[in-house]
Amino acid sequence: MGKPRIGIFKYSCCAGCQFQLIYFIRHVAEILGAIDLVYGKMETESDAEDGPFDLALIEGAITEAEQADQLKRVRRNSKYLVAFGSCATNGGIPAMKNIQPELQIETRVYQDISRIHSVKTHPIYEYVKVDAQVRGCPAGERDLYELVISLLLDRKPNMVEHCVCVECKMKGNPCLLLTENLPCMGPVTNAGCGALCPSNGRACYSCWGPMSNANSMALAQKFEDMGLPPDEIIRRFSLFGFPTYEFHMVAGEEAARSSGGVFGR
Amino acid sequence: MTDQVSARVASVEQTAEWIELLRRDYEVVAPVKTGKTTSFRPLAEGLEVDWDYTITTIPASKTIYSPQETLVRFARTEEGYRAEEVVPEKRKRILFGVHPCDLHGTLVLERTFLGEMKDANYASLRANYLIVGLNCQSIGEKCFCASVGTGPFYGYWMGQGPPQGCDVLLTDLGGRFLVETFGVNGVRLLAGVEASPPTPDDIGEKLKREAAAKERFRKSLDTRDLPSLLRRNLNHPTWRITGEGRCLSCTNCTMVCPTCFCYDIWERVGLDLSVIERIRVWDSCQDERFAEVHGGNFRSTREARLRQFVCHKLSYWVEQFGCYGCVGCGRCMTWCPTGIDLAEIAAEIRADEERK
Ligand code: SF4
Ligand code: SF4
Ligand code: SF4
Ligand code: SF4
Ligand code: SF4
Repeated sequence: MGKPRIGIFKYSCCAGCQFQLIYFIRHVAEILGAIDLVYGKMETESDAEDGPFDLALIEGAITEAEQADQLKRVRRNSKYLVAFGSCATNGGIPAMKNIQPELQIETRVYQDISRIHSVKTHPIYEYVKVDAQVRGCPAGERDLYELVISLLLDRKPNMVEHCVCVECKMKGNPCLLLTENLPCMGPVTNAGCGALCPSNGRACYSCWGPMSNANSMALAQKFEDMGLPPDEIIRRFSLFGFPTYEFHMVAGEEAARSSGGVFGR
Repeated sequence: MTDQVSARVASVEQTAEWIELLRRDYEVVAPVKTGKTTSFRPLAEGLEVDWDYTITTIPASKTIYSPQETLVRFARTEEGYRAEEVVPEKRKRILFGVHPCDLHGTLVLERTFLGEMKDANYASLRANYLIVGLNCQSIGEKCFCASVGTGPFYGYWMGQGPPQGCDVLLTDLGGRFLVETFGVNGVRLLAGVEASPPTPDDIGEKLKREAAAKERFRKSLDTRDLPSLLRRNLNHPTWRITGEGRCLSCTNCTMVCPTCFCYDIWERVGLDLSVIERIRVWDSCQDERFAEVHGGNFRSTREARLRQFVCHKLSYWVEQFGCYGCVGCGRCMTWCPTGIDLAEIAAEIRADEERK
């Protein structure tokens, strides 16, 4: 394979992941020599948004119909499509708004909503097939590195897919849930950060989003047993990853209630 | 066997001097208070041995068998990639103050790594260590070594025990230590230490303290017919109810277990592709991806995974290795966020069967 052709696309997010990417390629100079950056609004002046690409990196969540349309085009023009960072992989912070009805949120933020065309927040896997996920807020270096290597070797990336507790115990940390009665989200959160927060005495707040098939109900029950009030529990499961199946099973009920619910509860 | 077994008695001061002496030639890794818990740490200036600890978070065996290690390195040359063996660094270390559950835990782990198939990496790491045991008198809330048979004082259990497992064994007799040595390494470690031979009173005091420690257990595990009891109950509802209702698949239980040996193999590749390292990383049967193979996952439910952990420790292990995979240290239930307890599960299954 020649130099892989890369396109970077940004949807609703803080752009922190792209800064992370720029930081990464600045510091790992070999990358720039090894890839061909074809499109990226923050990185190039190119307007070749139709590629074709060997790899499309998608940052941000979908919150407008137009974004979804473009995303579908990108998918068609790309060999591999990778979700990059929490907003793209699980809805991230922008999906926090999903817990309330859209109109309610918009009128709270904007005086005039006539030019706002938002829909609810969607992770990109709801629109297109995703070949790999680089999780994290911002996207984590370990998986980013794995992605680049896999692209160079044309192999399937081996992303970190276990929960934060694994990294926490590998560091020998005593568990904060048990020793400090802190509501740590580590057991349901995908690892890759090296258990950054628990290693510094802080409860994980799931900035990497859920581990696939996490047992969120059991952790929510544990939080309840620890004396955490229901709204605190829901907040923890809706800060990141609210649209995902794993977190929605806890926080989704609250969303239904606040919007009147199916049966007007 | 040429093992020499001898005993003497050392005062607290003599013991402290002895540790200082050891520190000159070895890195002494001992239980040290770290916040609310105790961990094995290299004894540095100002760090004191926590003589009264109950249990460390990470077991002694996993001080040797570490979370990540490089097994082999491939380096690019003109003629292609060349494999280089990675020899773990040689360090003279003493694992100090290891309780009997952990001494047995290490021996159990070694039935895997140093049994029929020798794991070269583990073997060369292990060769760095001498072990000083400490009979246990501070029984924790979750400890049940006495009902398994591995503690609280070190002895023979299911085909293993002294003189294997430790080179020196200490017993706190109150103001003085009984120091027993096993084999030549033990004798060498004690060289240059002033201490007197034990009197019958000292031996009597040891027996008295052992009996007293046994009285202090609050937790037990009924091991009668245990392996087949579990075998008969692979479809017991508790696997589903406890597994789905409480298990987080967080792997804390297996990470802290002294006998869990499972690992995954990863490859770490340098960006210029000049070096590829093959590393082994602790893995756990509680993780969903553990049993993912081509075409499916043979333990895709939490029910199946929890059953694997409990039955491996208390049933399958006996068939596999001739001893339990559980030494009764109580770590898994201590560090399980939702308090899942394999002894309670075994008791629940037994009670249900007896009721029938
Ligand atoms: S502190 Fe958090 S991440 Fe660490 S073991 Fe406990 S629950 Fe898991
Ligand atoms: S511990 Fe949790 S909140 Fe902290 S960086 Fe890691 S995933 Fe994010
Ligand atoms: S299968 Fe599970 S319980 Fe058995 S050794 Fe491996 S991790 Fe431990
Ligand atoms: S199964 Fe639990 S109690 Fe038994 S040795 Fe392992 S960690 Fe200790
Ligand atoms: S520590 Fe507890 S919750 Fe976590 S995997 Fe083990 S049994 Fe399940």
